Amino acid sequence: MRDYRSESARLREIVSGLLERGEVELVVAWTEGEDRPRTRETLIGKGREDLLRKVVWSPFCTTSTVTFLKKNKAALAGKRLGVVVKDCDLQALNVLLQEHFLKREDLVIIGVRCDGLAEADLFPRPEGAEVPITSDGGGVTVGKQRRAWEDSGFTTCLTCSYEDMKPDHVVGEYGRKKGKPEWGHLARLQALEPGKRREHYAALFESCIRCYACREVCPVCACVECAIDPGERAITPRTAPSVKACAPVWACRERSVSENAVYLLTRTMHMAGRCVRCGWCERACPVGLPLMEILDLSNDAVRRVYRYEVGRDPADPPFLASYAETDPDDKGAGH
Amino acid sequence: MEKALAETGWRVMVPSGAGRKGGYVELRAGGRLPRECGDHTKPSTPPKGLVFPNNEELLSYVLGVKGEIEVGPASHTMARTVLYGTPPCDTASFRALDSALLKDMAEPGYAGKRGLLGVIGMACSRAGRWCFCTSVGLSPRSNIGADLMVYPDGDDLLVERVSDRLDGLWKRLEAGAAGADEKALRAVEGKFVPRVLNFVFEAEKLADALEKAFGSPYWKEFSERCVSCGICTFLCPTCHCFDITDVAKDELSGKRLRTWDTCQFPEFTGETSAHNPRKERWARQRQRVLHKFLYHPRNHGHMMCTGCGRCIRYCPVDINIAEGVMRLGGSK
Repeated sequence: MRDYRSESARLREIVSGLLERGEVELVVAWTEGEDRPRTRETLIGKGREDLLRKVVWSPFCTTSTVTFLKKNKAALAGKRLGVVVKDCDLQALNVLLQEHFLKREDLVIIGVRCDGLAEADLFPRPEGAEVPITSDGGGVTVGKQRRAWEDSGFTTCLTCSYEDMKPDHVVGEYGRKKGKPEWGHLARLQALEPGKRREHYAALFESCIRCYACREVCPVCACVECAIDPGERAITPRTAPSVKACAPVWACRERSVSENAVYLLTRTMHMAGRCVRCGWCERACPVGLPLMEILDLSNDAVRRVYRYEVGRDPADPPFLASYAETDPDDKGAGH
Repeated sequence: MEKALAETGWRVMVPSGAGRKGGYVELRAGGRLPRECGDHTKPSTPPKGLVFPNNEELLSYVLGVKGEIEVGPASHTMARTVLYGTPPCDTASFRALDSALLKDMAEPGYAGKRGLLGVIGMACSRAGRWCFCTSVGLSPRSNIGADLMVYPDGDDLLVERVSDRLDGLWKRLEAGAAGADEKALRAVEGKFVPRVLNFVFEAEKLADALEKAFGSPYWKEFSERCVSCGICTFLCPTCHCFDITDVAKDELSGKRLRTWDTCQFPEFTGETSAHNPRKERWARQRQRVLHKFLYHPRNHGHMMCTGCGRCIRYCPVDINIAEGVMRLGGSK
């Protein structure tokens, strides 16, 4: 059985040690917020005992510290950082390192071995800071409330098979056998006849309200200017008016099946070989779209056809920038 | 009530009951009206989309062969609709929307549909983890924004007439002897007890305090993990900012669309020169908070927040507006 109070204490030791010794300027870690057992990413500097005291690691650390790095890239540029990551965060970080979005030498990586995550809002608010949070092979327990892993709101964790964590510091031991990457929903969808499948996806696309939470929470969706509907434009005062006027609009603001499909499907294509299946987009979606159903269309091809494992190691070549002579798509290409 | 509503022939919209993610849905013929309301029945998307749609065609145009432009009329109408069983937070959202889109200068798209909407609010019997209506001048039994207000009382339903807009329905109900007298109403009202919350916002004091806190360094800490998505504002029952874009169908025709926009998107205040007065996320979060608790109250006399808690509940990174407001100007 894992006791997250003692693992959190160990994590606090490591974080405060790094700051004390001056090995890093700042650490990105999860802290307990107002709404336990919810947690939040927080930037901690030396001397911030108030924040350090709240540093926590538990299955409720469901957000991604890598998204925090992505969002604060400009502010943190050139600073030596400590970052606490769980398995899927590390995979995402590896993707960004492979693409030179971040530099490995700027980072001290503190890994927390993760057995799976749980939705904080499914558990009653623990009364008092001393309520233990534990987990074992079967599920998560907060005080007297227990839920099985299958019943904790995180379907992507059930199929997580990543065990290659090689961080600079590590907290915790796996207390549960990792799953197999078998995604049942794909077989189910592919078995549908084309007309039904079309209906299924049309209903899905229609409900999208274009809040872009899926894109913004994604740790690896890191383009400054999104090709679909730029929230932020990469323009400067020197950008010529003709360039601004001719910026392509791939999906217009209209909320319709076709425009929403352009957004969601293009995102899926851009995520090929980059999606680490953390599932945060799906959980964040305020209208409950099963986004992994779409993303797994490309994830499945990457895994089964190209046998590429996303974010395994920072030294691996990025999926879309790598070529193998055994590439199954290369048959008859004139070689 | 079911019978009286069915007789009117109006479209009836009710909370989907999904609790977590969903919206207000049309009641099917013969369907049962909800018997209770609370945080557990509150849909993730608020009712504002009925009268302030996320996707609204403002006009269409066709360029003729001689160069004349034909502009298609905008349709600012909808089927006559009654919203039934909105919790007081969603009910009160119409006061805020009306004051922004109807009061001084009626916005035709909103006004047209709003005139066809009746609101039957319901007293709320279960507060949720993120509810704070009692902190913003409302309560689980407030009838602000409602035309009729219903109070579930066991198998009975007490009905209070708040405005004259649903008098057609009200008269049918009276004929069926379902109306409530004052005394019965007061007796049952007591059942909907506000949850005691550990913070109270006093509108005027709060506005003053927030004005002073404009330059506070706390805004940066408050928003350092913000991802700039649209959840807090798109799911807010009172947020009403929009964008207008022309969508060309081909070289000769197209339409003008209005879609929801949010102060949280960087491009919201982006200028063509590349200058952006709210480039930083903390400046955008500050705008959201101050619009709700400083600017709107100063202009309209009530807060532009109904304490529904959606922005806290659905925020992917646990940004808590109540926590922020408390920190900058609330009192315990």
